[in-house]
This record gives sequence, C-alpha cells and structure tokens, in this order.
Amino acid sequence: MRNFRAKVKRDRYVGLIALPGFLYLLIFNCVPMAGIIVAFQNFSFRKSIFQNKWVGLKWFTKFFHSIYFTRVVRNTLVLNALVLFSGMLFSILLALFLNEFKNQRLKKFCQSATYFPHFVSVVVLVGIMTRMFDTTTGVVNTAIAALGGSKVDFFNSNVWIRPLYVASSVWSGAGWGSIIYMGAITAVDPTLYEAAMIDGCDRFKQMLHITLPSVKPVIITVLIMNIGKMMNLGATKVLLMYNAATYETMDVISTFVYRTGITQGEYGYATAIGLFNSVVNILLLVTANYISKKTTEVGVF
Amino acid sequence: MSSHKAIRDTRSDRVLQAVSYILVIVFTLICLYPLVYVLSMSFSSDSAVMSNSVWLLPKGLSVNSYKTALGDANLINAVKNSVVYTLLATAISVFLTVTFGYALSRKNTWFNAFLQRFAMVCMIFSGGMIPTFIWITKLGLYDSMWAFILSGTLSIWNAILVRVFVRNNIPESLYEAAYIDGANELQQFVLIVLPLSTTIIAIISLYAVVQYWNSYLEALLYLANRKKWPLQVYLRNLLEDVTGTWDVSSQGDEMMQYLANQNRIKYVSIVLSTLPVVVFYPFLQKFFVKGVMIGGIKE
Amino acid sequence: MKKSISLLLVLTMLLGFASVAARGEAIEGVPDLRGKTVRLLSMETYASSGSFSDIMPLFKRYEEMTGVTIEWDSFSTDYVTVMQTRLAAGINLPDVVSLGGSLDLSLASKLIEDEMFVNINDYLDDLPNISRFFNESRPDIRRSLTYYDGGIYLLPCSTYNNREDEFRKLQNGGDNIIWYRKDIADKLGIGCPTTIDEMHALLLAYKDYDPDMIPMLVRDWTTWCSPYVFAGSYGLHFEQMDSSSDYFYPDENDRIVFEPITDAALEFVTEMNKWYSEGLFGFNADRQALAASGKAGAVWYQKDANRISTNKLLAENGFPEGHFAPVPWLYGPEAKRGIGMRAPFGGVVGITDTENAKTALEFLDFVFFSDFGIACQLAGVYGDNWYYDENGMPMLNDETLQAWYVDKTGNWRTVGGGVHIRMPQIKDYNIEYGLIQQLIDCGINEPFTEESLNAYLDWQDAAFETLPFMFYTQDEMEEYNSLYMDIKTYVQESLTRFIMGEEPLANWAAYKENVQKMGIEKVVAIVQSAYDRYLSN
Repeated sequence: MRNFRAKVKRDRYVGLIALPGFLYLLIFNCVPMAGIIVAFQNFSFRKSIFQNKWVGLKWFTKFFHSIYFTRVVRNTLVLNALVLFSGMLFSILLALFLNEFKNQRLKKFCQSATYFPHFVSVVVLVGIMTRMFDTTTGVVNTAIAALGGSKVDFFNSNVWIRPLYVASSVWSGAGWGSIIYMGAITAVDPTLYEAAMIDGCDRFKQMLHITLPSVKPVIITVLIMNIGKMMNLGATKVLLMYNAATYETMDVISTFVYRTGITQGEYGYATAIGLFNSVVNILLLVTANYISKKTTEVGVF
Repeated sequence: MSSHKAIRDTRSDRVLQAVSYILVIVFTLICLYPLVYVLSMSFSSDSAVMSNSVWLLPKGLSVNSYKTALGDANLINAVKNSVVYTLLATAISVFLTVTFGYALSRKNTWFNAFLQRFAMVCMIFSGGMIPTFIWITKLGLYDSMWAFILSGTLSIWNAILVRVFVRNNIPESLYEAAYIDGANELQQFVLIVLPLSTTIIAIISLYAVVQYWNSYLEALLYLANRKKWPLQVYLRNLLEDVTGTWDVSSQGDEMMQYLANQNRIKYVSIVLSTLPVVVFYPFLQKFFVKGVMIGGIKE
Repeated sequence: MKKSISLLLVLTMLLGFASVAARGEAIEGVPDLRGKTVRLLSMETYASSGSFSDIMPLFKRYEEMTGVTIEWDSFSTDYVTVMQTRLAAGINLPDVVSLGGSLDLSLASKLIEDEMFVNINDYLDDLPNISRFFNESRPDIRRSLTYYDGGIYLLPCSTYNNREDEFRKLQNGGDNIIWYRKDIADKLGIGCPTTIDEMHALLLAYKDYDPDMIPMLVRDWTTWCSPYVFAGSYGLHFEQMDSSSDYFYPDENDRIVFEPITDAALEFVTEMNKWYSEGLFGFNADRQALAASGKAGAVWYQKDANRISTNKLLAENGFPEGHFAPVPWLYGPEAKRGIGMRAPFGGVVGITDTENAKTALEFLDFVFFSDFGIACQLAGVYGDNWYYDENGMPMLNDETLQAWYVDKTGNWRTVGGGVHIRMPQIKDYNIEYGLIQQLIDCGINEPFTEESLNAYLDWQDAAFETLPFMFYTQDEMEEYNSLYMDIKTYVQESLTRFIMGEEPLANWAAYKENVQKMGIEKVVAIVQSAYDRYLSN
C-alpha cells in the first residue's frame, strides 16, 4: 500500500498529462456508450433510452438467422482484408521508394501528388470508374478490344468487381497512408546509414536492414489497429458499385443492414449489428495483438 | 533524412534508384490523372460536363462553376467558419492526442495497464450516432460549434501512433538523464519529448486539419443554423449530391439531367477540399525531420 | 402616325398595369398566422442557387401574406440519417417532417406508432383545402393514408389534386417508353414491333446491322430502367426493382399473388435470358448520350424524349436521317401487356406533436393545398412571375418566359416552386398543361409530335395501377420485416442470375421451393390482410 502511494506520487505529473485526454474520453466516449443498451430494446422515438421495451437478443437472432449472415460477414472480412494488405503494401513500398529519391523537389512533388486521391469523394471516384470501365464506351474495354480481347462487363461480374473495389481503394488510400511511414523513416538516425555505407552496404541492403526494421513498430501497430476495424466497412462505396448481379461478392454487413434495417427506423437492429461488429473487432484485435507480441515482441496493447 | 552522400554508387544502387523512380512516377501519374480530371471538369462548360465529353483537358473553358460557388455571399461566411473551426479543433485535437499518447507511452506508471485497456475499449466500442447526439445535445451544445469540434477530437488511433513514435525514438535513458539533472516529468515532457516528436506532431496536425476541413456529417448533425455551416457542408448542400440508388425517386431522367448539371459544383468542392493540404503541407514538411537533439546524448 | 402608335402603346400599357393592379392582391382564404412560427424539416434538392429558403422569394411572399415566420431546417444529403437522429433526440423538434422521396412504409409506421405525428383528422375543421383534397379531389389518397386506427397522420407529397383517370393530357417528363431507331428499321424493311417476338426480331436485326451498336439499351439491373421493363408483357407488375415497389399484386379476385415465382415469371425470365445470351442488352447510365451518338438501336427513355429531342441530337452527331420512334407497349405470349402508372403520391410529410402543430397545418393548407398555392408552386411568385388571365388560369409574364428561355432547367425552382423540396407539393393537371402550352407557344419547349401524342395515349391504354400504399400493424410489420427481407434479396438476385445465365433455368423449381421454404406464404397472408383492410376503408 505504501508502495502504491509512492507510485502515485512519483507518477503525478504523467497523471496530470494524461488527465485531459482521459476526461475527454470519459465524457464524450463512455457516456454515449450507454446507448449500446438500445441493441437489446425496441427503440421508440418518443421514449427515452431507459424507457424502451426490452427485447433481449431478438435483433441478434434476427441477424444470425438470416440466410445471408455468413455471406455478408465473409464479404466484409474479405474485402477489408484485401484492401488492408494491398493498401499497406503499397503505402510502405511508396514510402521506401520515395526515400530513395535524390531529387528532393521531385520527391516532394510526387509525395504531394499521391495524397490527392484521398480527397476525391467516393461519388466522384465511382463516377469516374463507371465511365472508365463501361462496357461500351469505357477506355478500358476499348483498349481490351483493340488488343484483341473480348470486352468485360466489370460492374456486373462477380469476378471483376472485387478487384475493382480493392484497386480503387488502394489508389485512394496508398498515398495518404504512406505519410506515417515517411514520418517513421525520417526519424531514423542518419548515423546508422553512414555507418552502413562505410561498411560497404549498398542502398538496397540499407533499406532492408536499417530502414525497414526501424519502421517495423509503426507497420505492426497500424496493421493490428486495422485488424481491429475489420468488421467495419462503410456502405457508401459498395452501394454505389454493387447491384443484384454482384450481391454474392459485394453485399457486406452495412449494405445488408441498410437494405433491411436502417431506412425502416429499426434503430435497435442497427445498434445490435454495430455491437456485434465491435465484439468481433475486439476479439480480432486481441488475437492479433497476442500473436504479434509472441512473434515480434511488438504489440499495440 | 537518410543520407545521400554517395561515397560509391554501386550498380545495385543505381538499379534501386531506377526502379524507385519509375514505380513512383507511374503511381504519381495514376494519382494525378483524377486531379487533372477534376480540375478540368471544374473549368469546363456546363454542356461539356453534362455530355461527359471531358477526359483530360477542359472543354469549353468556363469559370461558371467557380462563379456559382464563389459568387454566393454566404460562401465567405462558410469559409470563415471552416477556418475558425479547423484551427480551433486542430489545436484541441493535437493537444489531447499528444498528451494522451505520451501518457500511454510511459510503461512504468501505475495506471498504464489500465489506460491501455481503457483506450482499447474506447477505440472499439461506441454507442453510435444517436446516443452521442443525444448526449451532446443534453450537454447544451446543440447548434454550437463546440459540439461539432468536440465530437471526435481525440482519436485513439492517433494517440497510439504518438505512443509508438515516442517509445521508438525516446529511450528511457533520456528520461533518466533528465531526472538526474533535476527535471520533473512535466519538464521532461515539454523540454524533451515535444521537441523530439516534431514529426509525429506534424503528422497528427495534418490529419486533424484535413479531418475538420472536410468534415461533413458531424456539421450537418450538430449545426442547425446554416450561418454556422463550414465550407464542405455549404458546398454540398448548394447542389444535391444524391448518391447511389437510395432516394432516387422515379422522376427518371429529368432528375438525372439536372444532377449532371450540378456535377460541376462537386468538382469545385473537391478542389477546395484539397486546399488545406496544398497550403499546409509545405509548411509541415519542415517538421518532417528528426527532432532536434538536446545535449547530444548518445544511446 | 407615330404619335398615335405611341399613344396606343401607352394606353395599352396603362390598361395592362390597371388590370394587373385590379387583380392585385385580392387572394382569398389567406390564414392569419401573425406572430406564429413554423419549423420545416425538409429535404431540399435542386435548389440551383443559394439553397437557403430564407432567400426563396416564394416563401418570403408567403411569410408576408400570412404573417408567419418560417424556420427552415433543410438539407439534402444523408437526409434519412440526420432526420432520424434529430427526431430520436427529441430536442428541437421541427414542426413538419418530410420522410424523404422514396416513401418508406416501415419508417412512417414506426413514427406513427411512436406517436410522433398529430392526427390530421382532429384539425380538419380548420383546414378547408386539405379537407377538400381528401374528401372531394382524392379520396383514394385518403384511403391509402388512413392508418388502421382510423387516423390520418401523413400528408402526401408530389401528387395531383385531380385524378389520374381524368388525365388525357401531357405530363412534364418522367415516365419512360421504348424508343427504336425507325430509320434503320425502315431500311431493313421491319415495321414497328407490337409483340415481344417482333421486338426480339428487331433487336436481332439491329445486332446484325451493326455489331458495335447496343440493340436494347437500359440503365442497370435495379432501377426503373432495367430489363424488367418487359415484364408487363407477361402480365407481371414489377418492372421496377428498387425498394419502393414490391412483387405483390392482387389478381382479379383481389387475392394477393407473389409474382416472382409464378409461371408467367418463368416465361419472362426464360425469354430475357435468351435475349441476354444473344447479347441484345447493353447497360449504361448515359442513355441519351449513347443513343444520340448512334450507338443504340432501341432505348428505354422518357416518354417525351422527342420533345427533349434525342432526334435533334442524332442529327447533330452525324445521323441526319436518324429518328427514334416510340414503340407501343408490347404484347406478350398471352396477348397481355401492361405498364405501371406512377404511384398516387411520392413521399409523405408528418406534423410533429409540438405547440406549432396547428399553425403548421394551417400554413401547409394554404401554401400547398389551396388553388392559389398550387398555382404558385407551378408558376412562381404571384405578380412577379404570373397573373390570372380572364379565365382564371395562371399566365406567365414575359419576363418569366424569357428567363425560362435562358435556363431551361426550370427557373421556377429558384423562386421556390417545383416539386423538389419534399413538402406536400400538389399539382394541378389543368394548370400544368396550360403552362406547358405557354412554353411551347413561345418556343421554349418543343411541341409534341404526333408520335409522342400517340405514345401517351397508348400508354394510357396499357397502364395499370400500382399496388396501393397500405399500412401494416406493428406485429404485421415485424413479421413482414423478419421474413421478407431475405426473400426479397434472394428473389432479386435469383431473377438477375437466371436472366444472366449464371443460374441455369432448370433450377427454377428449386428456386421456387426455396422461396416457399423461406416463408413467403406468411408474407402473402400479411399483405392480403392489409389489402383487405385497405379495400374496406
């Protein structure tokens, strides 16, 4: 006990520093968390949260019993995994390669240019894509035909729509996502490079043995945190890209809920699904964290 | 900055360089194309936009879109709002994120394990839009910029990034040395950690600026008085952005045509939404350097 | 000579002013709402400038006339989310809430069930125009909107105060028909198709004629413009696949049938599958552009495309003899044909239970349901944009006509009229027709060709009424939701896959069985009981 008091005294300044953030989270994150209770209720617009009728697990069973449950969960995870891994790969490679640029002005220019796709709104992006990949008039199909191939109906094809989705997501996010890795790279001690060069390491070896390992903690952190978001896939882009012909691969949890829940004011149902997502997310996060700690000794939590 | 003082440029070095240049430039071009496209669309005439004939360069050069968007008296107000909100929110956000992230990084405090788990739970679980809205309204913040600024200002994700950077780049020995010199933890934080963390602070600021400048749904929800609207909401509301298949009433093509007409404002708003990055980023670039070392303490 | 002419001119001008002044502000039935406030939560779309209603002249005028203060809480995107959030918070409730364009029955029911809206019946004594609308002009809408407890909690949006079957005149935009390249057909010696088989032959001929051309151009799989447009020829009633229309329809004995598993559906799907595998369908959102550049043989497009001139564009694009002509509704194998009429209304509005409810209703009653209000919504600000002629019909003044000449997309929207703020915009066929004629007379709108006219009339003959809007009880709603959502997804997907050939037609029996196993019988029973209730209303 005395030990504890001593610790408190010792850590009082760090505690002070932690206080603003902690209070903020308490007030603005934790209190609204009480709203999760709606997942077990029949939400009424009129009554307050604590007066709604209790229905227990009704919404959860409704979701689990749907014949599409497995499909939408699978699609959500697959799409997110594909985007995550491709995106991170591109971002990291981009940061590494940019680092090799000698011409600083060109480097800055390219860097800034790759940020731009992040700002293109989804609507415009999909609009551009539908034009580019259109079966009759799109550039892509025209090129395919010119090269002797047969035209592909991208947006109606279960085979092609996923790559299209993933590629466009990577395109949108790779540049912006590389910022954090660029930052990590700049934090590497330059003397390490000098030493390596004196030892006769070429730049490629430097990249492998100095840069990459230094950036590893950031990479793993980002990876694990993203795994903790694997069940979240926004509906907007998918809604714009899918149709009945591609439900099989593109119907995700959010679009499914959208079609069957949100517009109908079934707010309890939507909350229940959100809660389910969060629970799965945290399981994934803890697992990923654990595995990471065991294998690489780097963990987020 | 990795050193590029070439003592010897080996062949593999040159290959690596070439590969880097080629791949990055190709990717840059791919990224740039939509930029050019959007810029061109924003400078094209209405009929060109509507007939979808713009591919690379503007057709029927016209500043109509900008005139429509910028000619509105209310726009200046919206821009002013955006600037105020963004600056305020970024300041608060960076403050909260950096302090919290630093606190997370000190492994040996008695509360660290608890704080970590607390952060994890907060990051994953949330009550959702409606409870947050109800609560913020109950706090009396409805229709005030604080509602909009304070919702989402501490991103745990970013705080964790701060933690990683701090842990990675500031060894315990630095703290010990400072402690020996008589600095308490507050002083350590301000005089050692902050100067060495300029990179991550710059990154977080950039994220915050972009987030708040482009924020849409929160502003829509929390700001009822249209005079308080920030730029993006104002622009997007200026011309409807009906997306996807929902809310497309069976009015058919009449609406489609009208929408095509209004596409131009979409492009202007994209151009405007990238402004802070374009303006802010070069300024931030200076901070993308290894933080200043104090006292040259060797590891 | 010059002097007398100028004198004449002056006299005419004076007379003109006098007559306008005489008509002046003698508008009847203006409610007195001085000192009161009304708060409108609406989904505002298509505002081409400003977008804030406090600068919409039309509503400014209403404020002046009635003395009320309007507070607008309007915005467009993500409307449903924001609207639900605001309502759920229960704070700062607006007085009038629009429920969006594609009417969502579930949401409306839920809000009514949660007692968010007032019962309009309680106020009808003070609402002369709404009473007249419900009791004399549109008792069918009254029937639809009556909740099963007998109350009326919603007002309709985007509808007419005269009945559809009085309408043999021409509507502005909207509904679609099939157009085919007559010049090419003539060249090939093919006449205008009247049956499905003839259409098929025509499409094949187009494909032979030019392999790069899309024989039948539609938009996509799920909106109003999909291969399902041909469903009517098989006696089916589901040519739209979006969420606002369903697959249930009553037969001659008023028994509800679930159409996607009927034999007619199988026939339809088989035929479409044949067409699809022969490459006769093309999908593109830019139908007009494609058609106008000569890349389409037949296209599903607006009824009055002739007026909006896909033909003129064809000429501009290098096809001077290019000509799209309308195809009458095709007869299917059992000599059936049909095309759905527009729903009686599109969207609803509810009045929340706040202290301004009565004010809000009186305001809506005058602004949207009175003859004067209807005329304003269609023509603009009285005095500034239009005046009454000697027959009591609204006439646009020259200035307005000229403004429309410059901006054809509907200048009246800038003053606050038009259909698009999702308030109970009521229209009147007579007034609308009169305005269109004025636009035609001064050259803004192209006159209707005989082809178009015939197409419209043919449309009337083939039209069927869509399934009426009906309320379900809460229990019914729950069961309906829990069973039907999956069924609907399954059916939509299956039909599409059958047509695309991804699912062999031999699996039809299995598909039908699956649907039955998923509980369609129960859903049909629910719809049936709601329908029976509707009929007895």
